[in-house]
Amino acid sequence: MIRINNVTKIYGKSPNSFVALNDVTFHIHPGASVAIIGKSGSGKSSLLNIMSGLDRPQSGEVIIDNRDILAMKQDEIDRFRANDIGFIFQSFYVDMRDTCYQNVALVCEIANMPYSQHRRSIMRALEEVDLADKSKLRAADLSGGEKQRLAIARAIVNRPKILFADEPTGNLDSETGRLIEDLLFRYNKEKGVTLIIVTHDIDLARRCDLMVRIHDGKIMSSTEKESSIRSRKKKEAKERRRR
Amino acid sequence: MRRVYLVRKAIRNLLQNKSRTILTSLAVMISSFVLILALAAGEGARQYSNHWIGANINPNAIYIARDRAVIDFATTQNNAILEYHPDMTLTRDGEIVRQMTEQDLKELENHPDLAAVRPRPTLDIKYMQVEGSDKKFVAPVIGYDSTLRYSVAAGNLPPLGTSIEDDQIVIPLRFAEIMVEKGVVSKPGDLVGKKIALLVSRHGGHLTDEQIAKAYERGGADAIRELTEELATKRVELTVRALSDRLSSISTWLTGTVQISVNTLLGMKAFVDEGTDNHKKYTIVSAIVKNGKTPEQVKESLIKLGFAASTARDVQAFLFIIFGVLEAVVIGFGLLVLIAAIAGIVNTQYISVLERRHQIGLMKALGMRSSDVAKLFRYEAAWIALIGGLVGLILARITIFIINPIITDTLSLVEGERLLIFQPFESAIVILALILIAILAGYMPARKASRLDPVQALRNE
Repeated sequence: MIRINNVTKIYGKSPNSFVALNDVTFHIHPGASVAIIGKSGSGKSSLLNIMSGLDRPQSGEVIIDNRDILAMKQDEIDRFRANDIGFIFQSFYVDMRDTCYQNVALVCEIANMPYSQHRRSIMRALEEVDLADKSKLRAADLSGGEKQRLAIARAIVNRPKILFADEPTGNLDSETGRLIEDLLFRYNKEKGVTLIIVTHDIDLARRCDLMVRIHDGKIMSSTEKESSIRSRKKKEAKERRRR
Repeated sequence: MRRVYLVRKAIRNLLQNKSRTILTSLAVMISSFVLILALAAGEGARQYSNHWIGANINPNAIYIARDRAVIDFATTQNNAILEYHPDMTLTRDGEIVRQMTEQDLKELENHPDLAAVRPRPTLDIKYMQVEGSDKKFVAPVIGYDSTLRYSVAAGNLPPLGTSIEDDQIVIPLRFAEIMVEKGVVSKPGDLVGKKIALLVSRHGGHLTDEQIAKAYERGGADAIRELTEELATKRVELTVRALSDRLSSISTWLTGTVQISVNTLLGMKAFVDEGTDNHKKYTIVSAIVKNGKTPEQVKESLIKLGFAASTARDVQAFLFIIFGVLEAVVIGFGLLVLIAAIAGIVNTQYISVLERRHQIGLMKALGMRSSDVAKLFRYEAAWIALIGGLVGLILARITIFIINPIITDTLSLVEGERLLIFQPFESAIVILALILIAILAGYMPARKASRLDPVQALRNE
């Protein structure tokens, strides 16, 4: 469960200060897919940065698995990012001069994964995105869609609990974008990973379980899909019975 | 992140920027090259002078003069007006110095810690002539120095400490070769055993009225001229004992002179100087320290007696000063290049931080610790220094290998004598120091990288 409680983020100092997030509160169920939508400058990227521990708000709480990540020390936040979350960016940010394998290996190295597990984990991640046969190819030699698939492989190699995707299809044509979306949602459903997508693509947002609309730093609406509510309730009831 | 990953990633980053890496490490390379070469030259010079002095000068030898200017290389009295003293003379080098008298010599001979006290004058001869040839030659002549070891090209020389006989002469091989060119003998070795006549002359004015009257009666004015000539020249016939080659390695300062026994030389000098202020006076005297005293102790006692003295160690110290200054100059140059290298590393790393903003931002977003980012940049700086340092070392080794025979040849050193001696231990320290300095130089850029805000770095432009 991710709980965002009363988060306020202000950039700059008064009188030139700018309120990016204004007392934002919402909750995300584990394994859900969430779209944060809004115009540029609405505060959606700020929200993503704060949820992932890259940025700190002036006030509020971000509670993930019952721990407030804003209260963590820098070392713990680094470890949390290395082990529990994956990032996907609009501009891919893959290292063009490294091979696909090396790009994915970076995460294993940062997360201090035992060396003996590197190869298996990296190849499995590359297989998930259908790039196993290109593991030795340099990232520069890949197409745009392949680069984003490589970025996804890098994001999932350490089996994160949460995947953050910032405009994952923004730099891709619609057909390739659709394939990337399919890949992300499939991973979300199959592995039960929480998927949080920042986008202004309304079609992409509609595919998510939860759609959080944000405008001028405030949440305008938070809509959960009927089907999603039903399946979640079913799942929760099953949990209760088991207990 | 584990150190091994950081080190590997640093190498990969450098390899991906080959030309920049090479250019940056170039300055480090030159610096390491110069420093290692300077160390090699310094050690070579030290060993060379040690070896030379050990091999050629009796460590107990001491050189004594009345005047410090004779001994001290640094003092010169040119352009100075000095108070007159009857013992003064103008040396070959154009210096006015006070000479030692017979009385001084006596004093030294009676010194309890000195043996083999010998004046060391040079003699200006009129000419010298080899038997069976009418060619005449002029050359500087000095007394045979039995404290030095010479190498012999032909004939033989007595062991160290023993002089040649009074009727013997030693000719440098170089002179013998010139005599061969002039047709005196057919090959240098033929000179050994031959007789050579040495002629010295002095000003006339030694004839008595009686001698003049007798000569006039016998043969008029011609007879007087003949008699004057006869009395004004002294001819000594000597046998060539050996041809001296260069001293086992040093320059030519002693091998460019003809040598005869000190006794013979003193006899001829006494004849030339008779009736002048220089008669039986000497600028420098050599002696051997005895009674187990060190030359330094005896030197002190001689200075108290008003003499100036120089020991074998003084000669060495003088050489060491020269070598030390030269080495310092070269090391200074190396350090200047090092400063340029540091500036290069700082600059390159700063640019690298700017260029790799996305990479740094991404690594931090993926959970890389700031301290690891800083380490990555410091390791890159270290690699640049290691690469530059090692290439510099290899180049220095190659240079030493190539240049040593050339130096040996140019300076006419003895075969196998090397002036550049590679110092593996010191060179390794130079490279380690370069790495350390590079890491320090990379400190600021590394800090800049570690403080980079990933949110800023990854913002979409």
